[in-house]
Amino acid sequence: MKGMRVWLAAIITLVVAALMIPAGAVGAPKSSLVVVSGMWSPPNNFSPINTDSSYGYYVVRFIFQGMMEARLENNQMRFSPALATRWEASADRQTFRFTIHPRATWHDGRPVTAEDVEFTVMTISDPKTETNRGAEIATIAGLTAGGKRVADQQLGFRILGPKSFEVRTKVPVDPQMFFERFGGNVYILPKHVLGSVPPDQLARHPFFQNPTVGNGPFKFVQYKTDQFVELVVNENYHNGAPKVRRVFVRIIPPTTMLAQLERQDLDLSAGFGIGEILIEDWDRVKEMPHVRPVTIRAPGYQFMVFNFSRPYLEDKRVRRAMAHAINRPLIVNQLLKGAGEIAEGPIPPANPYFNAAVKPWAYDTARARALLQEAGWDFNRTIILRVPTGNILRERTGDIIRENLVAVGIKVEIQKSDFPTHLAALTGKNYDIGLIGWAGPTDPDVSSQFRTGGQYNFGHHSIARMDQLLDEGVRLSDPARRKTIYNQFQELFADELPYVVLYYPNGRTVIAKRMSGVNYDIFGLFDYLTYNWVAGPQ
Amino acid sequence: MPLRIHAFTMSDLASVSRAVDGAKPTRPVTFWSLATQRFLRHRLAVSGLLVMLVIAGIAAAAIWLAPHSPTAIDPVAFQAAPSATHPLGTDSVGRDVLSRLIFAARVSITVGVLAVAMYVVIGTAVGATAGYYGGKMDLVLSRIMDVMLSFPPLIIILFAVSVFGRPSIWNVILVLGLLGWPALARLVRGQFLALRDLEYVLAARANGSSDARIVLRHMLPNALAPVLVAATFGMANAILVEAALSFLGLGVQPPTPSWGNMLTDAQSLTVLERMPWLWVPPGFMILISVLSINFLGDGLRDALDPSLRL
Repeated sequence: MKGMRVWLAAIITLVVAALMIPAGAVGAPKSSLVVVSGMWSPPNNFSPINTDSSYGYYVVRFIFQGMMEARLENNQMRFSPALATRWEASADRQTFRFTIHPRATWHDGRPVTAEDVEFTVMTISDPKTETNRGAEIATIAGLTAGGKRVADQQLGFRILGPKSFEVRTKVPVDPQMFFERFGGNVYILPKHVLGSVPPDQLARHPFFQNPTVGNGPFKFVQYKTDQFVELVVNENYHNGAPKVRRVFVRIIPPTTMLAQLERQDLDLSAGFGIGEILIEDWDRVKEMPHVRPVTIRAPGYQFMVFNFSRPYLEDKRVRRAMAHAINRPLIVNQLLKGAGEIAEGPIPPANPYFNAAVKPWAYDTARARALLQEAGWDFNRTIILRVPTGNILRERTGDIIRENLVAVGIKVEIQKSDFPTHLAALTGKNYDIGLIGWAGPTDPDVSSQFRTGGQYNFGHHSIARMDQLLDEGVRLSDPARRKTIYNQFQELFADELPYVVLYYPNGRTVIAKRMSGVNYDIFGLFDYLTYNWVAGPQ
Repeated sequence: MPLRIHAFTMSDLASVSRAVDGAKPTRPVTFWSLATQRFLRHRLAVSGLLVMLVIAGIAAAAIWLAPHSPTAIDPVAFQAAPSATHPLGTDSVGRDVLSRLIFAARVSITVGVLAVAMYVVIGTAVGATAGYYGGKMDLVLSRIMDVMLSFPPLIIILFAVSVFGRPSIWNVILVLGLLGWPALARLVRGQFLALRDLEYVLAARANGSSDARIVLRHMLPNALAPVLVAATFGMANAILVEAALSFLGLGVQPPTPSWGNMLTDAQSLTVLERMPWLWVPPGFMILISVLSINFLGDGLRDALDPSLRL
């Protein structure tokens, strides 16, 4: 009997020990040549024009490149060469010329040419192709607003030589915007590999599970489903062979990420929204001697949207009362531990187009009650606050908002659901107020969210003056004049309040101290200029 | 054949044994008083009952016992360690853990009692019908039970909760009540199959009693003991399922506290290692309430099992 107990204890110890080995711990021996990055969820494929999420594009950008890489520095957009060595806009801001690096080659040795770029634009713009890059090329002449070709219309793309080409837009556009979207977000496909695949069969082509012919600084080796992606150095990379020889992108949940960081088994998190440190674990990461915590000034925000099809939410005094009632300073100081900002609008404080003159409505419960009374709010009405599950901070924000609104006399019932159900409720106008987040391009055009009938106009609002300003912002190509328009837009936004922007959360990421040359790009991701990465000894 | 004793013969037998023991009966000894005696000798069961009574008392008196409102936010104490103002600390949005723990007892007790009461009624009715009438009726009802028992329960519950519209405590009760009856019905059916050919039932039938009278008056009281035991264990299960659903966000909706949704705070290594006040109290409450009910069930089973009495 006693012997059996010893055995039992031994078995239990073994099982517990086995459970404590985190998933994804397999992979790499540590050296100055190998770097391990961690992100939360797996990608569904590695298509440079159709992977499902930021998780996929994080991996894609090691393997495939566009013309340039973009990053915001001191509120200025900075472009670095990727496939292109030169890019220039014509004086009329309607024609853009690119020159591809003379030594830019595919991983199989074939040169990257203007034909590959043309093939990529033709593929994305083919109505039969499944892609999420349409918006990035939609300004090009001959394409619809969704970036698809129209019959009988000349495509604004011209090959000038084997390594140079020219793109013409429908109307003059802001060159910054064009370079960010076309130059930074369109990754080039190999024509000699995919040229013969019919566009409607492209999405399911095996190449996108095993993309061995890329053009970036790293080559694809293997993907162990839901565990890790292995990448190896491209010795012939035209901007100089990377110093790091091998990169592993591990798919690990936040808890495991922390444990691996503590064991010095992980070099960096993937970045904003896809591989971060949980708020509770932040202090602990700061205590680790071998890592550098990096706060990323948010390119995105969390907001509370109002359903404008509810007559009782139509009065802007009611919406402003709620902005006054919600204790946003408390949310940022306590819930985010100060790692975030408050701004009354959808253009981030860390954006050149941000209007600093628009101040957020103060937390003022007396003012909130007064406004509600003025607007004739029915204090017996119970409204539904919809909260999606998944983002734990947002869920907690929901609890605080309810308490805050109850405190000024608004009866609120929280209704939680999974994200797809939540999104369906918002688009189906089946809610009163709801929480959700947004992170978009650096360009200030937010028509898809705030214009009447926009694809992401979750509040279903229609504000004539707002439509006017948004249309004008897209039509103008001069950055200074655009800035004036978007300043007015932000003033109008704070007055009308289709959303209460709750907070701009900073990204909480980490880089091992042994790493240098690591920076985040405009999306807050660390796959920026990866050929500059240097890993020191452990 | 296992010994099945009718209530009338029970007291006779009891007095016989009493006479053998040489004790003087001061009042008529019944099956239930005997069972009570036996139950009281089961120490774990009695302590389980006491713990449950205390928890029920706390739930009933929550308004007076809780030091703070369970939803009030302390703006200067988010995830604060236990202190004089907050004896069990505060949670991730600055609410008093002790107060939430006390109010959460209401949810667990309500779900446990109402869900089980609901499926005991359904299960007994279906089981009794199947067992009493037998034949085709039994065949059909038994197959329905088989089908329902072969679904993975948590998946069905997740599905049902989302189909019923918005998740709430009442939906959890409804779903548990509507899905929990087949196991119980099977138990009751077994009892009725054994009982229906006994002499006293035949006698009642020969008297010309109606089916309803035979079932309700003569058979049901004798089938009640195992139902009571199953219901007790069922209550423990209902509390666990509610905790699981609330942890997944499909049970009790915030800001109403439940032990399950209080545990959702504990999803990071730092909280698990350095902030035990966020997860130990609700975890402990789930543990002791389920353990107490299970002890209680054990005691009831032993006390009510006629085959153990001789």
